[in-house]
Formats: sequence, C-alpha cells, structure tokens
Amino acid sequence: MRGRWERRVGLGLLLLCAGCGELGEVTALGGVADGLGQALPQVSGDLYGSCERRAALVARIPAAERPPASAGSTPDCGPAKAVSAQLGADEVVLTAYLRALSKLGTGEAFPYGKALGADVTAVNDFGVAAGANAELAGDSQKAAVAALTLTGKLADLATRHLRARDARRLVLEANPGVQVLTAALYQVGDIDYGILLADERGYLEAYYQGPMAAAQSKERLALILVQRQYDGDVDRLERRRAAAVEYGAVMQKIGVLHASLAQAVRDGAGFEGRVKALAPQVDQLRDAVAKLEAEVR
Amino acid sequence: MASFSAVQLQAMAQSLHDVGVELGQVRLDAIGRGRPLSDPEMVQLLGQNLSLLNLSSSFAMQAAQVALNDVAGAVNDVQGATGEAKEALAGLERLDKAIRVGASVIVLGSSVFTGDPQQIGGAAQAVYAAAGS
Repeated sequence: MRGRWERRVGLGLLLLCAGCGELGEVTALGGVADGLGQALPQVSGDLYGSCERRAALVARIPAAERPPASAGSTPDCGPAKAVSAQLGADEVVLTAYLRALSKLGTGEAFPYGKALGADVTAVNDFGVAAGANAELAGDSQKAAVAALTLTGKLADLATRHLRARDARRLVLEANPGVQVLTAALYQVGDIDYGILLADERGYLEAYYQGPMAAAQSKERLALILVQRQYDGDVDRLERRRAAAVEYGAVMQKIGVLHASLAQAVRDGAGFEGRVKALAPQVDQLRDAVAKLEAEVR
Repeated sequence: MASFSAVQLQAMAQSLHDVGVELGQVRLDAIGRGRPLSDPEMVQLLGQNLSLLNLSSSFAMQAAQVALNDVAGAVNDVQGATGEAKEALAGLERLDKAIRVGASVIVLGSSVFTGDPQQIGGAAQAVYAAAGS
C-alpha cells in the first residue's frame, strides 16, 4: 500500500516538473500584443480613410472640369466603413487572444510573490514583548519564515505548471483559427488595402497632374507650391503603403510563429528546446511590429 | 449572380486599376499637348479614369468582405480560446488569493508568540486584507 502511494507521489512530481521553464516564447508572442493594439487600427481604419480622401479630391475639382456624378467617379464609402469596422473587430479578437496567452505566460496577474516577500519581512521584523518567551518566539519566527519560503516555492511550481499546461492547450486549440484569421488579415491588410491605396494614387495623379501639365510658364511660383503639396500627399500615401506591407508581414509572422509553437506542443518531448529555437522568429516578429508602429506614427 | 472568390475579385480589381491608370495617362498626355482641362473630352476621360479606379476599389472592397466573411468561424474559435484563457486566469487568481491568505495566517500564527497585541492585531488585519482582496 505504502509503495503504491510513493509511486503516485513520484509521478505527481514528474508531471509537475514537465511544465517548468517553458513559457518564455509564449510570453514573447503575447508581448507584441500591446504594439499591435496600437498600430493595427491605424491600418484597418484607413480603408475607410482612403475612400474619404478620394471623395474629398473629387469634390475639390472645379465644377467645369469635374465629371458628372453619374460617371461614377465619386466613391460610396459606406462599404469601406463596414469593412474597416469588421477588420478592426477581427484585429481585436487576435490581439485579445495574444494578450491572454501572454498573461498566462508571464503570471503577471499573480501578486502572491510580492505578498510572500512582504510577509517574510514582517515576520523578521517582529519584536518580542516584555514577559513573552523570547526563545519560543524566535523558534516560531524561524518556522514561519521557513513555511513562507516553502509556500512560495511550491506556489511557483504549481502555478507555473498550471499556466504552462493551459497555455499549451490553448496554443493547440486556437492554432487552426489563428492560421485562418492571420491569412485573411494579411489578404485584406496588404493586398486589398494595397489596391485601394494604388487607386487613391490614381486619383491624386488625376487631381494634381492635370492642372500641373496645363500650367503656363508664368505660373511658375504657383506650380512650385502645388508640386510641394503633391509631393507631400504622395509621400504620405507611400508611407501608408509601406504600413500595409508591414501589416501583411506581421500577420504572416504571427501565423508562422504560432504554427511553430503548436508544432512544438505536439512534438512534446524536448518542448523547451524547440520553443527556445523559435527566439529568432520572435525577434523578427518584434522587429516587424516596431516597423509597423513607426510607419503608422 | 455568380459568386467570386476573394482572389478572383482582387484580380478583377487589379485589371480595372491598370486600365484606369492607362486612361489617366492618355488624358494627361492630351493636356500636355494643350487640351484644356474643361474640354468635354478631357472631362469625359477624367470621368472614365476615376470611375475605373473607383470600380477597382469596389472590387477590392468586395474581396475584403469575402475574405472577412469566410473567417467568421475562425474568429469564433479564437474568441473561444481567449475565453478559456480568461477562465484559466481567473482560476489561477483564486489560487493566488488562497496562497496569500494562507501565508498571512502563518504570519499571524508567528505573531502570537511575540506577546505584543499591536503586532498580533496588525497580522490579523493582514489576514482580513488578503481574504478580502
């Protein structure tokens, strides 16, 4: 009977340690969520923004040169507004997932570590009142500090194991959805939005280049000013295009990294080493998010 | 009405864009050769130039809509996983609280041996605080 219990305890400890020290890259994947939360809405919101800018350009063309409304040159921005909102909502789902994964990885929600530290300090600071048994109080202090230290170590082991177990399960469960979602966001954010920006560039060319080509030599100073305005608008548009490309790169990198994490969970044995090997991918994702943040700033 | 895939819609958008850009260049070349901006043919060319670009954007937008509609199931799955993560975190938070209460009781036990009512009272208050947080 006793032998059976010993075997059970031994197995329990083995399982407890199976989850040790493996949350680093899961945390890093989630750690980019804050940057994404700032930068992604700048891109998704601009699908509507681009449409509004095109509509504004048409409205500024002098009436004698402007095609009639029936020509279909003024965009209807209703669909763009709806797509922007839907894209933004999907981005929120992705970042919320990464944030929750990160929280499981870091254990930032669990302040017991600080509390235990304060408790040890409190016990060490106890003074003995007159008439009390100093020796007994001293023994009690030592026992309490030992108990608190042991509590901390056991709590670390247990919570770390639970967090690792939950994070691994979630990575596996969410992976198919994350793959489909990141692929769609890449398509919309890079390809579709890219076409919108290229069309907006066509509107800019029509709006500026026509009057610039028609300008007389005596209008040189006005032409210089218009040229500067045109250059500024084109520059802003090119930055938006660069942001769209980075957006697509970020989505692809999240997809690849998440798939690698899921594969590492599936492989089981040697998980820690496999996850550590993902560090370069994590760095690349961090760099891509930083670039995206820079482009939308 | 035939339903197109996002990729087909993107390809149509790109073709419309390319033709629109070419028409725009035809207009600019004509203006460069001296045709006035308000010339009816130039106005018509501008209308065709912009409407093709606008149509291109509409197709790109439809491609986006198709892509986003197709991922509705995946979005639900990811949301479900996030909900599970939050539940797991809530469970761990309860564990965290239990650890803190347990630790504060150890401190209270040790404080009894000091014989100092002030220290015992402080430790007891800490137990209440940990239990209530």
